[in-house]
Amino acid sequence: MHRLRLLHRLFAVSAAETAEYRAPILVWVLTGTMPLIMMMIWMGLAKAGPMAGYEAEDFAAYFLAIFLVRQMTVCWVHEELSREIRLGEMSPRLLRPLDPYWLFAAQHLTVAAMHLVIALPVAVIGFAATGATIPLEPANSVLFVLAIAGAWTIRFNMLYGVGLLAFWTDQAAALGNLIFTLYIVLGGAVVPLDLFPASVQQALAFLPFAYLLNFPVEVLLGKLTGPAVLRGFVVQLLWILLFVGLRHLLWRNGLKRYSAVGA
Amino acid sequence: MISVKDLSKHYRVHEKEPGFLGSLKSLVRRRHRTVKAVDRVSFEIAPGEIVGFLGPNGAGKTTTLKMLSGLLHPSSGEVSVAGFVPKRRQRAFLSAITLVMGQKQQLIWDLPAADSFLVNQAIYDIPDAVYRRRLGELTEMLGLQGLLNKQVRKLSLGERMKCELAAALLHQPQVLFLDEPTIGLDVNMQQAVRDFIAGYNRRHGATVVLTSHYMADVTALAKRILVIDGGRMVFDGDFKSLAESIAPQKVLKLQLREPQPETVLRRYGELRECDELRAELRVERNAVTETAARLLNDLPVDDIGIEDVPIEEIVGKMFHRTNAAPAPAGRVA
Repeated sequence: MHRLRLLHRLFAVSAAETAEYRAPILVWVLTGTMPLIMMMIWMGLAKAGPMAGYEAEDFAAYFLAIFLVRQMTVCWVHEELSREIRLGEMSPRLLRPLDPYWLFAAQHLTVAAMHLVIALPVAVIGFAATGATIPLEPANSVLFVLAIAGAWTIRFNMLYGVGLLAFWTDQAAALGNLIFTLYIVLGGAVVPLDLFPASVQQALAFLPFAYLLNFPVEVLLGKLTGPAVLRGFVVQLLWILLFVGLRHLLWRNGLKRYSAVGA
Repeated sequence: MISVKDLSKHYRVHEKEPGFLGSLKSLVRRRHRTVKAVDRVSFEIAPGEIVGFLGPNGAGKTTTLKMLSGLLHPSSGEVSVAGFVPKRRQRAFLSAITLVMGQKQQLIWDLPAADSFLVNQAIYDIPDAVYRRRLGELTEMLGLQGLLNKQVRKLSLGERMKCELAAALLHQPQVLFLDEPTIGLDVNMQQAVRDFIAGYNRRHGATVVLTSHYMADVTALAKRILVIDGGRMVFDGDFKSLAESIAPQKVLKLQLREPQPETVLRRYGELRECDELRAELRVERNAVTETAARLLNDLPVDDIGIEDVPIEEIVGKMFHRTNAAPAPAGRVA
């Protein structure tokens, strides 16, 4: 009962706070339109003939889906964490009997919802304009929601861990940038992973990035067979366990080093 | 309620010379230095006590409060607050204490304070009826009417401070750590906050540890004071014994019928002020009565007053004295 009310309050207040940031969120959505530009480039290239089985419409569907997945899994928690830790602003959070993780999570989820509200019409227009389609079946949709939840949890916990590194170093931002680049390139936001050489694709299966973008997109587009979907979920679960564990470890040890400078 | 034994907090700080060359040097060879922010401090505080925590900037007051409230892990020593080890940050511990620091704290900047209060209600799991009663009480005592539904960033500094105090007390903590609770407030507001703290202590029997730059806060609220300097505890006791131990003098205030030359007045003690018919002398504590009698006898004195040396001066003197002693290893705010 307590938990339920807490959850409700956190989301209600996050939503109220998010509503205060309508304009910045609109700007963020626009800065997230890079996949749409990639879409146009690849559609142009595909005019000469299909590439690895991708026609122009396939590229359109792929990148529109990538655009949506990115909007639903927006995450900047590492920036906030590292700032609060370096400047001592974490203190008020630490005084309350609630792991700050949940406050950040509620905030990110409500902001993601806001992103989706703005991004969905953009995507619908994109589908209409390009003639691309999604095979919208109940099974796909449910699996897609699960894959998004998995992608969100991996990304949020991974970047949460990056933010917590601020307990040890001022250079956590550099790692954040590196991870973002890997996420974009190796996750499939520039080139569909199908177009990578088979050996690279095999290697990518051992990294988390493909499970943050490419996997949910392929689930949505119905490109994966049953066993491949199952394997994807299992790998997502493993990454979740790893990053959640890592986050706990960093949090416990980081607090010992927290210096609460200033405030 | 609070028990502290040999508490220390040492930081290893990385030293860097200014400028680009300094940065280059520190890349090649890092130099470290240990700063003893708090050094083997011990004290006990009983339930319901209000204790003033004094010391110059960087003395270790705030660092100590942060260790008492579980924000910082001590380097060594033992701390117990309300029966808990603060650094474990157990739910029951965090529900039993609060720490109020500076101004920008836990209130959500872009929302009305009422929203932050509701979050705290849920976090601390306060039943609705209890919450309404406490909020009513805090609203009345702090004069929050009309403030709770305004965006926090649109509140004045004083209004925000009052809302921060309310947010920090909604869970009705038994132990209050207040770090400069009146900083930046005007005199009326300072008085209001002071009255509120005294009232809260009376009503709930709460233990209060408070630091302040305004001596009036401390003299009005605390019977006992702890003085810390250079990370070391240098005094623990009441104001009277602090005055006796630090200032061996008393103040004699004279109202004269006719002006006296300074040379005459100087015979009776250390002359601090001399303004036509008014004069102020510093006299050794044990010679006060005799000197006063002599003054009344020798000079045309209308009125004579014997007072303690002002507490500000005593504390100032104390810091001056400890600073003049061998410099402490270093300090960190």
